Amino acid sequence: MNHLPSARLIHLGAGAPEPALHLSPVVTETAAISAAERGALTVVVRRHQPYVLLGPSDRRLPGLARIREWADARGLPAFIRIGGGSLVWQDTGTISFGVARPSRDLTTVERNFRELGEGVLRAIRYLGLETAAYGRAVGSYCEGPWDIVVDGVKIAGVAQAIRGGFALVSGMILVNQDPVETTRLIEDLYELAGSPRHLRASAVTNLERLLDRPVALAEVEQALFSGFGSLYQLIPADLDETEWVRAARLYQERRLA
Amino acid sequence: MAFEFKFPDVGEGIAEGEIVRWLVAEGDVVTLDQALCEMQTDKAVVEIPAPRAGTILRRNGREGDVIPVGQILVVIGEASEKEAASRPEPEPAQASSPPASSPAVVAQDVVDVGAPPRAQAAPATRRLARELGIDLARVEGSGPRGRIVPSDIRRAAAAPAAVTGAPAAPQGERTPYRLQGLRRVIAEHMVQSVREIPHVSVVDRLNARRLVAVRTLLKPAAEARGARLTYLPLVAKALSLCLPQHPVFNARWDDGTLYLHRSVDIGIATDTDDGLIVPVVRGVEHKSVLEVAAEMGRVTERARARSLGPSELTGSTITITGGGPLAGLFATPIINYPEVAILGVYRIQEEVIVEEGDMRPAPMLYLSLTFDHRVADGAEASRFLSSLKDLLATPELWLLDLR
Repeated sequence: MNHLPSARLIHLGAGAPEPALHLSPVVTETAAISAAERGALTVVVRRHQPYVLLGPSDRRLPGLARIREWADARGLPAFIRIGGGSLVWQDTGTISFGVARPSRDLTTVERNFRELGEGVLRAIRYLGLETAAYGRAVGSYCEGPWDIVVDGVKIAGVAQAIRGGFALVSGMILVNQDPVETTRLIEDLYELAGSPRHLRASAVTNLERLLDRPVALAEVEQALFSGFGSLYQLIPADLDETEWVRAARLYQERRLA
Repeated sequence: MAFEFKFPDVGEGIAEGEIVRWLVAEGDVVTLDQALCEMQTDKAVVEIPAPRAGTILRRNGREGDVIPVGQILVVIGEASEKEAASRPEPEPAQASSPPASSPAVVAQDVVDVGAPPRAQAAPATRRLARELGIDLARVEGSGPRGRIVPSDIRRAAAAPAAVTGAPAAPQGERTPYRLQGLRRVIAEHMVQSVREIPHVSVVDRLNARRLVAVRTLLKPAAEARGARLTYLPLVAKALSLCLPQHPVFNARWDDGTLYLHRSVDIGIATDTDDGLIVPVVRGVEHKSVLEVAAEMGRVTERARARSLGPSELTGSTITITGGGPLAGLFATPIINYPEVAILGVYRIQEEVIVEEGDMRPAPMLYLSLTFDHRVADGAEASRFLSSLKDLLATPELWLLDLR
């Protein structure tokens, strides 16, 4: 008999249709809103097309418009997320995740990080990185104390939002994204926005570097299913029509205009 | 009656937050639980809900300001109470400040509180500077008439010079000092080690006359082959010869399980401008003294240049820390978590000892072994240190193990 709490699983994988991948950057928030409305724990594992994702404080960058122009010129969307942290670059070398539960308690920031991030931690350990742990990769882009690190180097970025009746812990696992190129790109974008940052590329890594072998996105997805599946009884349930409508609206709201 | 709503404690250990965005304006009428603002603490953004319905009489802080838990965030009341609530939150008292309630102070946006020349900055900016350990006198303001704004403080805090920790503006006789960057990481690492590992140290000394002689003999030969031979490579090599007989000291905890390691991968505690870094020399048991010296020189140089890769910084199975030429007879170092033992090697100094019934000067080397008492007892640690001491006192013994 399975005593695990049940959780809705939303997966945008290899077979996801193009419109779904297009809205992927806001699927996690959409699912979190539903989690609050339905009182259901929800897990999101998603792929996406490349995009720039800014943190809420990045709104005040003096040259924020230049980041948007940079992205526009390359046909890339740029979004401001609801969770904390700062600018990151999402591409096909990363897998995004999110875990949401109904919550109006503001005092559980650490508990949320610890409990809702546990499935990701387990997934990374299942992949063979047994020393993965929560920690701060000093000097990394989007640095924070609840990222997932292996021997002090960031392998997954983790952020949180508590709002609208839900607590959402979300982030991305770095599968084969080049940490040096990404760090340089982020430095360049901050410089472009008139607020230069000095970041440390060596504070970030990826799964392929650490495992010293090719790692497919599907393998990471399976590890995430196993990680979360060890904590919850996962019940696959895609977004319904109403939720896709909400996602389309959120896409416009969160997109850097 | 007006209600002063303070920034609530949003989690264990969180002392401050950044106002990311105000969602209400002064004069707005809000309902219970309506979101007032977004606060960010360490990559978590929390929407702060109104604790009661009413009119926002005052907002305290601007977007981008960092405020401590417990500081008034908004004042909520009836619109008619507006006048009484217009008083801004006072700055924490400074030795040279006028009283916070002084009208001359509260009426200004920019407060001049000390002897000239003073940097011009708003109270929240000064508070942010204190929180980040930034000396306002060293910050160039980008605001009107050179006024320092929060982004100037953050830029200064992000500059490389500020990464190890910095004194903030003096507050009378004392100056707050905030741990930052690598210094903070070291602090967390040390606390974790002390919290989780029961530390015990044993200390011994040895007559290093033969070791000094051997090193004196080998040093020019090593230099001719491009390596700088200090005593540490010799100690590291001797350690690798001892550890197979005392395997519990060549070990790491991983996820609650203790793993004994065959390979002797020695962390070398290295003092850098930014703080302590521990690069790793791997497979010392398979390396010659010359190879250990060369590798040690390479990784410690890269550590000081902060150019080490992750693989050069992780996975050591035991660590050596050297007192080197600095003062001090010996120390009881903290174990490099999650290892089991750390060896302290201190400067060789002349002492008078009794040798063959006579008092003679001898170059004495102090060693300390700090170990995890869960894993080993004092007797075992003493035997290990004793065998290391014998090898270092009589380096010729190593010949027996040469292959």
